[in-house]
Amino acid sequence: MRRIIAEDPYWTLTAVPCLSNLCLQCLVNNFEKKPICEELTASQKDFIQERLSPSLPLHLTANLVTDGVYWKRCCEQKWDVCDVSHYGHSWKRMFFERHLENIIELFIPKETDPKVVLQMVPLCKNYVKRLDISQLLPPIKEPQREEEEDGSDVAMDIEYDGPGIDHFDFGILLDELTNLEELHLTYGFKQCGMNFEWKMFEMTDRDCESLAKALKSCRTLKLLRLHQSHIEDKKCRLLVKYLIDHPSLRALDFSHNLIGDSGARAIGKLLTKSKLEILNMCDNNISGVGAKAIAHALSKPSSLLSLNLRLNHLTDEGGEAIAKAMLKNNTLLHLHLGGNKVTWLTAIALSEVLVQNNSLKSINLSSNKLGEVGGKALEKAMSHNTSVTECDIHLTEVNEQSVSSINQLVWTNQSLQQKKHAK
Amino acid sequence: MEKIDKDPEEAPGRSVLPEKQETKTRLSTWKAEKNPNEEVTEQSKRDEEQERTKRIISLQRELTTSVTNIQTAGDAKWLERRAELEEARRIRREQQENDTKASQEKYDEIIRSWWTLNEDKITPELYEALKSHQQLCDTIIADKKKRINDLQQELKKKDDHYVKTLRNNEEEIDLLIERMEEQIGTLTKAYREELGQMETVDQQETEVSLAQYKAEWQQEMKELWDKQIAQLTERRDEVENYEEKLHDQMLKDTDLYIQMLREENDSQFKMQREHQQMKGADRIMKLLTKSKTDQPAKVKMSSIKSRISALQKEKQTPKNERMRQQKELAQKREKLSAEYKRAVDEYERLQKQVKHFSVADARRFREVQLMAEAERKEQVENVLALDSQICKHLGIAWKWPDLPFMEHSGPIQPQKQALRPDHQQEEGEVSMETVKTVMELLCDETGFLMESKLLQLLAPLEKEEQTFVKLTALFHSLGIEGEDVPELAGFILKYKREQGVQTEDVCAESSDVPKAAETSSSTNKSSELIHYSNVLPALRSFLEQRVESRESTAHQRSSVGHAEAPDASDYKAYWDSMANIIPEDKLKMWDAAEKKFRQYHGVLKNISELRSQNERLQQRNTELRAGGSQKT
Repeated sequence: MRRIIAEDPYWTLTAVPCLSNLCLQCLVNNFEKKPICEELTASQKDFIQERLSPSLPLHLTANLVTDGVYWKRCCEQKWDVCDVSHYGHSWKRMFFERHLENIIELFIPKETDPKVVLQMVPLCKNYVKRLDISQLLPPIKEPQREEEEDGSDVAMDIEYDGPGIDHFDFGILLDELTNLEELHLTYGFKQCGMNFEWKMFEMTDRDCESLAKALKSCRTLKLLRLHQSHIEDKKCRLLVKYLIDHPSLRALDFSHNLIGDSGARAIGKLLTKSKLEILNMCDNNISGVGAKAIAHALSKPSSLLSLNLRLNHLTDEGGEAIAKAMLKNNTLLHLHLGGNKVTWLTAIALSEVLVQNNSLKSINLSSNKLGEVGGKALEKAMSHNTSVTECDIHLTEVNEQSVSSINQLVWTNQSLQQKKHAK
Repeated sequence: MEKIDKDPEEAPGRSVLPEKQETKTRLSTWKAEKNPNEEVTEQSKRDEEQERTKRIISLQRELTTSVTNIQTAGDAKWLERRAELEEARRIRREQQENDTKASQEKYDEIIRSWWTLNEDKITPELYEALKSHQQLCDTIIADKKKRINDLQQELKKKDDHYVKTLRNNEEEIDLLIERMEEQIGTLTKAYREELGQMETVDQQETEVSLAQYKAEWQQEMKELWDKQIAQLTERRDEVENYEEKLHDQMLKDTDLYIQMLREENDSQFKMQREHQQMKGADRIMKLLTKSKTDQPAKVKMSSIKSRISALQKEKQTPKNERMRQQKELAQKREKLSAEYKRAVDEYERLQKQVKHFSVADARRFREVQLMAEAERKEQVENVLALDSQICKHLGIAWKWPDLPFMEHSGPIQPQKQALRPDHQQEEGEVSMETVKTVMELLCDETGFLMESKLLQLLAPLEKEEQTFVKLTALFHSLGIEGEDVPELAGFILKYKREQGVQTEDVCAESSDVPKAAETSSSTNKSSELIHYSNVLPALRSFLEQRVESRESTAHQRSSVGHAEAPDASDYKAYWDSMANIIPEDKLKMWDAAEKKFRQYHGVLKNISELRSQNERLQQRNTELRAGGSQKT
């Protein structure tokens, strides 16, 4: 029935929708059966984007609907906190990255079908640039418990070392994601509850090998962050072996692992052979020997800009070695040697560096027992230096006077730099 | 375990970093915005600002330093913990080593005692040895248990410690967050203050500039207004000036004009006065002379004057009457003349029509006649041919009858052609001069017919013109037209000749008349042509004849068709001759011949019938004959 009630005082023409809008609404309603999007004008596309249902299957929308309001709605429907600035201001990228992360994080080896991941690959490979995976689930251990009840410790050990404990294999994924640039990875378990076991937070040998191969196959990767994953020297060597010829890797982060001196030697080798710019080895077990290896790499021309050796066991042996290497280096900008049990010997060596070197911008020697002698040496050196804008010497048992004078010098350097920038 | 608790400690440090960067960028952008302002403001303000920026920088430094402090503190703590752990581990290891050493000694002792036991086989000794052995084992077990207990206690302690550190960390984190929030608060406060200050400064600046602009504007407006007012006053002065000038000029002009007028009037009045004076003098002189001469007649004059005036009055009425009548008459005449003209036109038109019709009728009549004649001739020829055939048939000699009318064709032309214009030939002889003289004579003789008034009017004109005017008047009154003038002249001359014959007798009787005529002829050439006494009768007779002739011509014209047609008798004879081309006896002969032919026809018919019968019979006969021959 179609009629207009003349007496209706609320009837207005503005309430009547346009035919074009009705048509577009119809397109929206039947988008699943017949997706039409390419032929529309920009304003019509906007109209459709605002009205499409976020629950539409991804294989339909992924490559058809462009980045815009639709993906914003999808994201906001799925997650509460959405900071698009972390994703290059692209809602679509955000959606696909987080979606893929969720899938991988909830992937249970031998339980979940790998097709679930593989199906997503063609849809999201154009949009995913970064993967930040905060947990990798181990396989379900029910059969192990049964064995435990049988009381066979040996069998359990075999089980543990066997393939049963392996995590998600990145080999199937990384070579497909052609736009991937950053990979943040931790072999951990977020909500373990009372089922805690150390093994849950470890990377197995098999995991390490598959990951190393996968990393080698991912030619676009620029940043690798593998933290809190119980990497020992052996695994580190394995990873470095595969990463040594990587064409695009620029930043490497092995923080909070168990890498020792032999691992550090491997890293030193990697530094000389690749184009790494940022290296973060904080909170490992590197001692003087390992530091010497890294210092050796530093003394040769390399592209390294930032070196972080925080919370290691360098001692004066490693500190002095690095300071000597820095005399030959003109590229490094940031150096962090905090918490390394170095003493005034290293401070004196570094003060020589500060006098000569004009590329270093920030230096951190906090939580070391430099003593008054080291402080004074540094103070003296800083008076000849104009490039250092950050110098952290907290908790180093340095004289208050020298600390304040160093700070003053740093601040003048800062203002100088700012003026340079302003110009 | 330690690693996990470390992570949150680091997290705030990380989260602070971007903010720091942000503040830095904000600062830089703010500085960039500030830069153009700085250029504008004065030196003192710049100093102020520098102070402020310093304050902000120090605030930011505090912010970052506090964070780094915490981080380093965390690091230091971690190092401490690590050292502690290592120490603990070392002690544990030592203890373990001691333990193992002690237990090894005891074990060795036990083993040794076993050896001694094996050697000495005395039961009480053995018993003792066994007892001591057992004691030793017990002590070992007790030691082990103690060790286990110690370790368990240590573990418990460690657990407690862990929980404590966790709690500590939590507290520290809370504190840190609080501090950070505080710092952020102070920073935002500082920024807000800065912003407020900036705003106020900006506002002040804008106010100052606004006031300045306003003042400038007002000043400019004032200048403009002053200028305009000055211009206006100038203009007004000018206008007033001009008005005054105009007024003066006007006054001057009017004065001049009035003066001129007055002068003119004066001169006029003077002249008028003079004129009147002269007039008065004149009149006085006249009166004086008149009064001198007509003193007695004055009385008579007055009476006569009165009479004259009365008479004049009387005369006026008939004059008016006459005028009226004249007018009426003129109108009537005009009307009548118009009517006459129309009638004449009508008449002429009718005449033309009649002429046209008569010609058309004549032609038609001729055509009809020709056609009829042709028909007749054909018929006659047919008849004659028939006759000749009949005659030939009858064997009578036939000859072509004499038919004179057969050559004739067309209507019979009337033989008499009226020789009317005989006097026209004479007319041709009449020269213009004679005509003229005759006309002059006529004029003189018919003078009585003219109105005296007309004559009076013509008196001053020349003779020729006089005669011309008179003649036109005369002819008009007599109804003679211009074209008839030569005819009239001719007639008059002829009349004279005719009269001359008659008058010869008279002349014989009275010889003085010709004598007089002769004398007159010697003097006047016209007298040769006609005697003036004969002019009037001649004219009269001409008029009569003319009237007659006019009537006759009218009659002639009306009956032109009948008059010109040949006599009916002629036609009758003509037609009769045609009808009677076959004589009576011949007709009789034709009847007889017809009768005879009829009879002959009947005989011929019979013969034809009989002949056909005969033929049939013959045929049958032949058939029969043929049948018979066949049979045979």
